[in-house]
Amino acid sequence: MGKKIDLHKTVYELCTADPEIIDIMVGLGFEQLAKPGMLQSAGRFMTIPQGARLRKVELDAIKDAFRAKGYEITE
Amino acid sequence: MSEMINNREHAVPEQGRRQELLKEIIKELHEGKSVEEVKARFEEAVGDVTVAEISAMEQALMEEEGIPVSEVQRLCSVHTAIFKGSIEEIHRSSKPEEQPGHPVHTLKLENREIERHVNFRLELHKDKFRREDSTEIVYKLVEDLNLLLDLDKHYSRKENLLFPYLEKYGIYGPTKVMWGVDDAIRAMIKEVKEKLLSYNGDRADKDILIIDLERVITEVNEMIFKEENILLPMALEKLTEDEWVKIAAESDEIGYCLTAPEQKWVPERVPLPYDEGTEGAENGQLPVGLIHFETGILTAAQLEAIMNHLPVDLTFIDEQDVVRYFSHGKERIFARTKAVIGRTVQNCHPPQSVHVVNELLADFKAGRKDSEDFWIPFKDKFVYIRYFAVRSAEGRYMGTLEFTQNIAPIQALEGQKRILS
Repeated sequence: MGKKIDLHKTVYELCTADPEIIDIMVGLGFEQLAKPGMLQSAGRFMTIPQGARLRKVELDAIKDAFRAKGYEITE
Repeated sequence: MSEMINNREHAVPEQGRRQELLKEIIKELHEGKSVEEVKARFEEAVGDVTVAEISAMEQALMEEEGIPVSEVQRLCSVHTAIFKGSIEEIHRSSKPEEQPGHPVHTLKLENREIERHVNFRLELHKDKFRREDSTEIVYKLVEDLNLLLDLDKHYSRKENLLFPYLEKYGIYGPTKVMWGVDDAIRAMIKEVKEKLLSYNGDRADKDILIIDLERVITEVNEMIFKEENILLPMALEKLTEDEWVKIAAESDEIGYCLTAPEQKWVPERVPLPYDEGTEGAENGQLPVGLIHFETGILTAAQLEAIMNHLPVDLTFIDEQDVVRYFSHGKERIFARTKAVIGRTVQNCHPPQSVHVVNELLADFKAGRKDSEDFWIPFKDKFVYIRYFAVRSAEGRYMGTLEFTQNIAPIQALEGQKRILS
């Protein structure tokens, strides 16, 4: 089954549905997500594109990283 | 649309009468009276109107008076001209945070000013400084930064008025992070200002200053983004209307950044989960907060009163064995003083019985037991003492609840009682 990432969904929605996403995000420089409470608070309002803008990570780099892990990206 | 018309029929007469008046006025317009003429009459007769009323009215004009849709559309701009002022005043956005004076509205208003300030003024002066570092432009930059230091008020309101509420709802992480960044921005602005004041035309200093100024602009913009995309939506989800009212009321004391709310925010209706008689409510202190349970919401004052009305004495120690709370009804069986709060339970028991306490707690923590009961005669009472291991839904040990009750009156019950006495 293909793994999917919907960029319109909040980080919280994505990570609770698929905890593997947390690790990938942390690996991409979103260390904040690993902090307790962050996912449940800020994560509930943030989408990946918003997070990318905040952390100054290229959205394309994030997309590539997820594609490399076998994710299909919905924009 | 038909539901609107039905609503109209069942609406209170006052509303129906208003509808009639509105319709009359629109018809007059239609017949060629000037906007000015009807406007006065409109204001006198109706005073205020909501958007729902206008759409109901337009609907009625089409359906009942047979005015064609195109005609109503043609009149639309005229309607707008007449209703503009009153619609804006009366039809407030259904979202409280979009109403002037709401703390979120004010914070966003300030953000717009801050954006203007950094992205136009400061940016412009920075570029000019890059081209010619005259004393004049250096002073302009210093002035810009001085004004920007007004940010402190914006940040302080956030930190001192908003964060405590978020923390009350268990949101610590983002607030701590943001506070740290706020402080960094404040420090950065001050530092750049100092550097500008001692700037003597050194080429290397100039390059650094330009980079510093760019950083200030970026960081300030980033903070606005974080506030509006994370902090404020999060706060809007958590805080109650009453809490926003409190924040708005206390905001004046700290002050505003580059602008100020146009008006005092008065929510359309303030629900009264706590108001009169609530501790602190009269003298303008922070109200006792709301406690959200899975099965309802209580104020702290209600909860405390409930606990004190239970015909039992409760004492709770947390997972560290620290006494956190005891109920204080009228007739406590075993005296407790506030001095025990914050001390470990071992310190609050006579040494000869401490081993019993410790053994019991060890069993609770290890999951060997969930409760233990004792019963002893005590003066004229018969005291039933029960201990319960309090566990989270996942089974984690959260502490122990002591539950003592004089069961002598219960033991004495006999026969039955079915009528009021």
